[in-house]
Amino acid sequence: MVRVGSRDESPDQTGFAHLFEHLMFSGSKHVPSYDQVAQNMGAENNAFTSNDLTNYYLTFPAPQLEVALWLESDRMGFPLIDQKALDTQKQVVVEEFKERYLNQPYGDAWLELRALAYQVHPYRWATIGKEISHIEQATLDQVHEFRQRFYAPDQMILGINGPYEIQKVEEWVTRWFGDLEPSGTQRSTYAMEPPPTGIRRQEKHGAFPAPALYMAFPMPGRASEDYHACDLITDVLSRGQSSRLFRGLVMERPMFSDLNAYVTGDMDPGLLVVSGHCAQGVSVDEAENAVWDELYKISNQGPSHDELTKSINQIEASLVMGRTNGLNVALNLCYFEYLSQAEDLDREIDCYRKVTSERIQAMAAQLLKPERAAILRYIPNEQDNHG
Amino acid sequence: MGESTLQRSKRPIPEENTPLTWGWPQPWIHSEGYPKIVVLNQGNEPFLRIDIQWNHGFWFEQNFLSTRLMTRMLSEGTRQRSAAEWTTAVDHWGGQIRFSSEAEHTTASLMVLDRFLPQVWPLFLEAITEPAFHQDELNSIIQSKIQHWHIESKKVSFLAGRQLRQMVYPFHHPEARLSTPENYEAIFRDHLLEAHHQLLSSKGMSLSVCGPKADVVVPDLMDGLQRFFPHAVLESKSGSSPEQLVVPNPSPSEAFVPKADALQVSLRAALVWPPKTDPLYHRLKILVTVLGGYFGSRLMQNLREDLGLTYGVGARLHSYQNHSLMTIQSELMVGSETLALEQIRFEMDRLGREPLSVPEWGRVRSYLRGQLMAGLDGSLALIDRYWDLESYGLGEDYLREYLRNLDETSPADLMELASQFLQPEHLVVATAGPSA
Repeated sequence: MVRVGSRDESPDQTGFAHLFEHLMFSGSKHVPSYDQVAQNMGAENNAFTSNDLTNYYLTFPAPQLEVALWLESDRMGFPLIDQKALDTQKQVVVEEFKERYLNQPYGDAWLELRALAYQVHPYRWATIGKEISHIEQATLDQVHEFRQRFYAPDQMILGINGPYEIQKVEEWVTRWFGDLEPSGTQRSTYAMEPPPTGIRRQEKHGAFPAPALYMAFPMPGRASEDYHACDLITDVLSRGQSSRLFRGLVMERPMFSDLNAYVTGDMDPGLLVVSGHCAQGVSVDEAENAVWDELYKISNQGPSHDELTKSINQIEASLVMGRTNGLNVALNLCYFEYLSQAEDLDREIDCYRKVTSERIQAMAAQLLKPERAAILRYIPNEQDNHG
Repeated sequence: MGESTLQRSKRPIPEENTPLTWGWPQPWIHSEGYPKIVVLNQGNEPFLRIDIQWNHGFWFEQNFLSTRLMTRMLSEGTRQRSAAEWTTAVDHWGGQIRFSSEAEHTTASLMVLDRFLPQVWPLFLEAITEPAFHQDELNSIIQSKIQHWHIESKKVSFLAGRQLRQMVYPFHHPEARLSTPENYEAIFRDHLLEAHHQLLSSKGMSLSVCGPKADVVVPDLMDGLQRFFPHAVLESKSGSSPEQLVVPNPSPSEAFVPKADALQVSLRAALVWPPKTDPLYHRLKILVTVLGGYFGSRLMQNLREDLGLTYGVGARLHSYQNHSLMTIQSELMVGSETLALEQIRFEMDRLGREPLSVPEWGRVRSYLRGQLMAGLDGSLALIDRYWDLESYGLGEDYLREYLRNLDETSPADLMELASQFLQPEHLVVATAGPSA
């Protein structure tokens, strides 16, 4: 995991961390083809970029660990990125931009919602970038400067999960990563988002298949001691088919065809989001009012003992089941080390258990106010309206 | 950056591979009157996964869409409990229950922490055997499905995929039937009751139980099975195959679905191949991997890495009892679809004319061996693999046969196979996007 994400980009050069992730598969000084070596190992590999980090991962037969460390250390320390690779990957990323964000209904929701919810913080753009032109204009010099700044061992966390003796792992990691020089890069500095001072609304009119609603509320960052209470707000609202929003507003009083509440879980203060598509014949005004009713309820009265027990049991089950996947464990080790320390992964369930109903209600009352909301609404044209 | 004395150009020698071994679900020996049960006593985490599968899917339904809506409605209340009561009870114990119907199979899955099994197991069986199918909940689900349909219908991938199905399958085949909002609106509670009766009376129900304490809990599960299932169903043992649906080789053709405001073109292409039970299937799987089944595949290298026409392109095999469908799919830069299709045909043709180089074949073989190992790593992966084979009447020997094919197949064998099965002129192609 590399401690660089879209929050480290400059506003006129967005999408760069993600573009760079693509370029990291272009080969390195001593390993001209990353993919060919990975395939020869019997490995499956990929990567993803978020606002806060870039994660490269590899699963492979256990005896190949040293080969994997050699392979990864070479591209992290000595990547070879030329103009041809850059030109090709710019085109590929532009197509990814279209496929994921532009060429499907509501695909641009997160581009719009971020820009509405954040005014100064770099979370105001998505990892794919603010606009296609930023990707198209990326130069090779910028690529090299970015690499020198962020792709060094002091910016990385290595997570390994497998049947290994720790001494052997340490020996191999030291051998292959030990001579890579640190960059000394300090954490990026950027303006933190000031508290919102009034409701922000945006409406998009067009040939949408149904009205849709996205409501975002600023919330504490992932490392905050209040994070788990915020996460539990969304669990009570929408985790499982018995949740308040699903049972109440999708099934019993069908205002939405789907409706979810979730937290973004960002390192810096993030968002608590409620989003859904309106049911047939329901206007976006009616749907929004119904959501506000539910938000007021949880702000005025916390979850019952049974509701809280239910959420904790659901979280425990998910955490236990998640531990059966080796890749998932390795990713989580990295993430928790980035957040605080890897060992905290095992204490996560305790953090949820400590949260009281009163704390959830207090956090909901503090966060879920109209004057803190950023609301994006999709309104279909009359002739295309199926809603 | 220092390189010190390290010889980075020299790849380290991996530790010796140990022989590939794996655990496998074992039959639970029991008296007459129960369905087939297998047990995988494996895993380190304190939870259980229980799957029930029927050899019955939506291809065999009497009323279009009724099986899919029926399985969705299984979690919307029982004769004893309202939907709110049932879902609250399951969620309260952290249980995760999923019902799904595929073309030829229907599955019910339960994942639950060990200590909550006694509470959740009866709820699971109650939903399967005593669903209420309330009309109010059905109406909500139908309206949600229709909204979802309207959203999907704006996507070029949806349009191209539907077009392709109609071109590949004969008009009387259930796969050629395309859903519309009107089809959903035509389903009522009686249709679900009929679909449910058809499911429970179908032959071939079987179970798997997986977890570190799987063998300990099976006797307790038996009581529930006897209590909830009619005796006739429990006696129906495994093995009754669904009726065969013939899929002749379709005529090669191309079709285009216009979508004026699209920013990309979706391309879908297909060939009908032999089923998973055919001895050639192992090698066909290898062949489709070479063509488009991994990051280093011919299509990914050509269309994405060399030409930059797409974010991704892939080829894969979809298995059914009496055939498999090899599909190629990609979302392409507008205006590049002709070039992309030329390159797809070129790569198909090349595989039938030139043997793979030794290094490429080595990479593909290693990659597939690694994939197989990953697919057998851990109890959940193993049980997925078990069902993947059991669904076709296949067993663990199939994996050994696959490994043997990986070892013994040569580039010349693959070239011959490609010349027979990857003929570009037989391709059925559907595209959707803005008009040229």
